[in-house]
Amino acid sequence: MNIAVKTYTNVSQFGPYADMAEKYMAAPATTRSYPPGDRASYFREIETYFGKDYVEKLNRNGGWVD
Amino acid sequence: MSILVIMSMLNGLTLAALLFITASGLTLSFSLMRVVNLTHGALYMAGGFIGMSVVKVTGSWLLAMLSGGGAMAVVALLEERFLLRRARGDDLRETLISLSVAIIIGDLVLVIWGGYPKSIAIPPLLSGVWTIPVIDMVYPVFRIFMLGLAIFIIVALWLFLTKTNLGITIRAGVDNFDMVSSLGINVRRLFTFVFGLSGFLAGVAGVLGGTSLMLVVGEDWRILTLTLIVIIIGGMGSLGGTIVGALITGLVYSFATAYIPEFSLFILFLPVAIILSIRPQGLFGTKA
Amino acid sequence: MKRKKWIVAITAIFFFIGSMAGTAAAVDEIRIGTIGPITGWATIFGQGCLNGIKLALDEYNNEFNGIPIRVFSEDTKADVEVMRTKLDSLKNRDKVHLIIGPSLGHEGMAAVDWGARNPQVPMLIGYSAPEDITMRKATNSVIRPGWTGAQVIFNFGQYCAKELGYKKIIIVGQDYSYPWDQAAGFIRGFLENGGEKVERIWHPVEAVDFSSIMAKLMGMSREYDAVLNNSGGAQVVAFFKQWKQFGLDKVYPQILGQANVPIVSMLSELGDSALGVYSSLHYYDGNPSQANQMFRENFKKKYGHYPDVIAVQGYDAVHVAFKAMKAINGQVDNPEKFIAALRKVQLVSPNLHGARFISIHSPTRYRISTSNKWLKRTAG
Repeated sequence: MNIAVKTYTNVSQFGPYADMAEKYMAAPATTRSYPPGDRASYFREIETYFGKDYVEKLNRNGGWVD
Repeated sequence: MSILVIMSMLNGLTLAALLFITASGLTLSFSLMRVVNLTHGALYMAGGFIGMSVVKVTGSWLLAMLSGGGAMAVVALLEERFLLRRARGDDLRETLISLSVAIIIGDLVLVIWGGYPKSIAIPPLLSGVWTIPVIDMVYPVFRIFMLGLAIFIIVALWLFLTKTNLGITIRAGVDNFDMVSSLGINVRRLFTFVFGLSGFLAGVAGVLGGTSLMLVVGEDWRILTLTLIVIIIGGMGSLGGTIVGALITGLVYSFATAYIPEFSLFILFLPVAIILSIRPQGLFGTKA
Repeated sequence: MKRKKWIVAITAIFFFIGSMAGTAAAVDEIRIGTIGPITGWATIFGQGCLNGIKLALDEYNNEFNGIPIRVFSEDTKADVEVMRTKLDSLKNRDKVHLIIGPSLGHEGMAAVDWGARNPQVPMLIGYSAPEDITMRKATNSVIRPGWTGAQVIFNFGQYCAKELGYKKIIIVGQDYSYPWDQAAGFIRGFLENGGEKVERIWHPVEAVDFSSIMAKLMGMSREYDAVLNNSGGAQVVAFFKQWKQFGLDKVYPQILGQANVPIVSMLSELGDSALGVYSSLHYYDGNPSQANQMFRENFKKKYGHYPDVIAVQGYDAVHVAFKAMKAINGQVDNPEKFIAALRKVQLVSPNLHGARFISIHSPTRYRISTSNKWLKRTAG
């Protein structure tokens, strides 16, 4: 039987990007190799469509804020 | 040689073992009766599911293998005796009959065991890994067992076909069918026997595959495709060719999966396309 | 003047009678079409959903305010071409008021195209998960009372980076769009929360001999922390079996699984090798809530085995439909009204983990149980 170890509430189909859905949908479509799998190139990528502010916020908070 | 190369080699060999056990039955029945039995994949799958139920009830894996094989031998016997025999010599009808039986078996399996994937537990004696000395590499005991079993079946089939009266008659029937029947040998019974043996091997292979990999509805067609690849490469009806075909298919698949997994299917079909275009009878087949 | 008044009065009466007829039940039966694979390799996805639908309808005695409900079940055989034909016959031959389904990714993408061409037929998506059904291809008549594939895995990436402390992960999966989406969602959550690297290994959808991949994983264990299995169905069983056979359970920590891994019937098949597997989903069968326990027992009574998330989504779709029908007083023969009502439904799923809402854009908000952890085998 499965048990829950941790629960995240109110997750929309845009996940953590719910308040920037337009930007999320404008990002390139997923492929077998997109988005890039290493941190440096991934961050370069999201800076182009989520913006510098978003990346700075991530760095400041050390990730998403629950 | 890197560990990955050695591993891929072993993986190729052990996959070839499973492929050989599955394909040997098909090649045997083809060599004698010249009918591509499309039921073979379904016999593999149904044999596996029966084996799974037998393990669940009795706990004996050996019994599972024997009953999976035995049940499929009976099914194949009945198919030959009551259906295929009536269509003897009419290729199209024979193929369509074997196709219909395959679909019926597939649906029965779905009704009895459902659509969820299943698997057979590896018997304790054959589970775990074996550490290969010197290179300090581990390898699953069960896959090595499959290789051993395939070698055993090769030797047994070879002894049977060359040393026993029945086997010699079968080989004679393969080479010159009319001659054998005019000698007063009951060819019909021979056919039924070989068909049963072929079903037995398919059922055994199903239990092996279900133990090492998994079982699911739909597996019948996947296995049939792989088996046909093996036989097309090796040459229809040649036991030696089936060994070589299984080795090529197993090794190509395992190296392709290790190095370029996305293209492993493409690479698997490449030798088939090449062989069909330059040597349509297969590497070891004789021209019809 | 008098005559004018009369005309006004008569017109008013006509309008009144007209609106009376409108509020009264307008149909003598409610026809619901279901669509999904109920034969072939994907049976579990279609049949699971259909089982959930039927169980929910049983709870309503198969009627709405005394109007009987008729179900027309169509089988796609997991084939998009077949599905299009069946959707057409549900619409033209059976004249259904609502369609529930389909259940597979590629079916869903084709169904939303069909929905855009047939805007008069409301459709509640079954288990089908591509996000574009309600994102880039969203259309008014197609409503999703369920999940998207990436939705349930974003936070799993976060969990693996933050709670499990992994830095480098290998994802092994089937090479088609659904696992690509799973991998993408995971990568976003993982890298944005401190993960360093994700390596993806893709194999053909139907591959079952994973020995070469196991060999590769063995070699990569020096650099990587953990492996995530990104497959569904039979491939999960085959992967776990070989994982154990090759002794990789001694090299890596417990395998991680994408959202389709913790499906109960599958994990029970895997026995001990699945114990402790982490994955994320919007449903977990161990939810102790009374509603979930009742749902499980009722389901078992009817079908002989316990339900999984696939059945839950079919079950919920029916409850969503009933809420909408209540809001429009059963006028399902007015598709505009019915669709508008469906889009406005707010429902707390009785058996899903916590609350969820269907917003105006239709996709659901969930509490995601990241991570589910598989603890012990369930009987049956």
